[in-house]
Amino acid sequence: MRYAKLITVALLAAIAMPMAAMAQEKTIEKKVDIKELSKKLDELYRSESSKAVMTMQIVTPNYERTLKMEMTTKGEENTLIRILSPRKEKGISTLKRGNEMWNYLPKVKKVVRVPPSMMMSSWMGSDVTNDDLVRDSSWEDDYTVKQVPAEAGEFCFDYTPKESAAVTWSRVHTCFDAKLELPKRQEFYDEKGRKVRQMKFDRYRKVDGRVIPTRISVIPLSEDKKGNKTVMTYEAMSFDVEVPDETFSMANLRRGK
Amino acid sequence: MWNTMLMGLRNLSRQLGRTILTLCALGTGAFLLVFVVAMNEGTYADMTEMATSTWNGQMQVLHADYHDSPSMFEAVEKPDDIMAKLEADPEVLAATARIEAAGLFSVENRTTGGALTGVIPEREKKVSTLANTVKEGTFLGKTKDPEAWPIVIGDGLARRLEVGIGGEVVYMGQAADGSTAAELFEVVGLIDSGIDEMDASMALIRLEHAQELFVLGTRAHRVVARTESAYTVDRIKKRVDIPAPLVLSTWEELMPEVATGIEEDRKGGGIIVFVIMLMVMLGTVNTLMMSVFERTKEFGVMKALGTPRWQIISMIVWEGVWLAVLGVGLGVALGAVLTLYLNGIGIQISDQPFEFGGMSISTIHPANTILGTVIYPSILIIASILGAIWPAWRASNLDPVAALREL
Repeated sequence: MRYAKLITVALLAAIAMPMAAMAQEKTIEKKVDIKELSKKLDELYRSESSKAVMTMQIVTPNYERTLKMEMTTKGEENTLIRILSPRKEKGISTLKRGNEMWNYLPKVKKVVRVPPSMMMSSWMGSDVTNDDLVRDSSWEDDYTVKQVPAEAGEFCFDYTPKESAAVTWSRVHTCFDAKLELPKRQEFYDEKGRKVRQMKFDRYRKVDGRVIPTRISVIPLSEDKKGNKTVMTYEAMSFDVEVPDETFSMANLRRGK
Repeated sequence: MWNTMLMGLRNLSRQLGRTILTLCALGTGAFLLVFVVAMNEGTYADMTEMATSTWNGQMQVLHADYHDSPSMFEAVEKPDDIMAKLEADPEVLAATARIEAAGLFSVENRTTGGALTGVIPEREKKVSTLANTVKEGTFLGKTKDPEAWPIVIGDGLARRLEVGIGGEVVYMGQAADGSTAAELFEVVGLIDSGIDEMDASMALIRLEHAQELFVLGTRAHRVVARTESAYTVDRIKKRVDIPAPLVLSTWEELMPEVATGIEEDRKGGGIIVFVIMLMVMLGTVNTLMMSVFERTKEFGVMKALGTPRWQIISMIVWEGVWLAVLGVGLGVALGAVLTLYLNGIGIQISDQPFEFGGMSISTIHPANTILGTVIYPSILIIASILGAIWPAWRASNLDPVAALREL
């Protein structure tokens, strides 16, 4: 008879657990369309074409500086970034075409190709890598997604790269704001499962007809980058503007303006 | 005492043939000992010389954090003061300052990563031999284009970039204030240091240009010193006072892999030294043992005549002393002279140069050291003499009656 209590508890648990699980699944089904959110993440700042002016504040224990730049994109393939200020670096440009990348240095009037081995290096001393700028992997197509428990008001997913995808992370934990259905934060894990980078999205504003987080903070978590932070803020943005193909030509890169 | 000494010598001359053979055995052993140690020590000295004088120097002054994690920001504030301080020491031959940065080197559509070092050419030539391995052009001399800054690059890097003397190389990296450091250089020299790794990645520019390019003011990253000998650096380190947060490090601290590698190898060599010593000592014991057995009757007579026991012991031990001193002395003299001769000309082993810590050694210069040429042979002599005690003890213990009856 002394087992009666135990058996009762076990039975209750056996009944209650699937019920709880069902209840949870129901709420998820109701509110979340994983595919839709991944697509949104892919197209957050993308359109057929776009033009944006943004500032990049780079904070390190040794210096702090702010770059202002203009970014022009067309499709997923083409990106051109021109630094507007500070004066010393005005005109430094980065062109990305497909998987290739070049920097233009107005001071010496030369184009420097960024070799594949340098893709994980920092872009202009920030915590954003060349790869971050060039990468055209898709959250929707290149990752398998799994919903994971989240705090109230958030949906969280684990993005694990598919084997075919050329992605440097082993896992990207992404949380969306439940109401806005826009990204709130992302945590990047390296191949050894260490959390190496954090990204935060905030200042949701309506820009040229769509609501986007206008501020992205990148915080590296590795020991040698302690105290580093890069904050990108969109000052102005317009989508689906007229951008000629010539914008992404080598000749235009060399023009520096 | 002196009588027994001379008697010992006379006894040896009675069996001159055997004595000469024993002396030859002892001499060969001692010669081997001296020469093996000289070869090893010579190799260590060559390795140390290569590891230090090529580029790293025997001593360096760095910011305390720079060695473990080199970064643009951990700089030496007043390199001129530090250089003056080091050069004030009588055993420091020269000192120089350097700035180090990684970055991209680009020629037309070819880009590769590399290491840029800002140097003071006049001083660098006195500190590192690498500065004297310019195979073509000048070591940061004048450029054709008066506007351009000169650069010297490794011949491996030059091949990768497909550029030669007079060509333009763009450098792109990051300055100390976080801004982009970009500059156009004109190649004025190609370096062939013989160390492939360095030749494939290194580029040198003038220190003042590096200071401007990286917005470092008058700062530098490394002060490198050349000393008279690599083995007296600890002494200099104690004498020269370098203020924190800077640290004066010796080559042994900067390249522990070289120092421990040598130490490990020396330990291995110790086994060979021990075996040679044992062989030589047993040779002495053997000769004296035979001599004692042969002269059983003689010792019987001596004892019967009332010769004190210590006199017999002393006589035979003196025989051992003569053998050891003459034999070892001869061997050491031969070994030391040969070493001295080969030290001057070196032994070529260039057919198969061996690699050690990234350096390839093709010539060995055997070297006499106090350890190999004085201390080890001394131990050998003492050991041989100790080996004579046993036969001497046996001879002194003979029963005169039994001994006389034997023959």
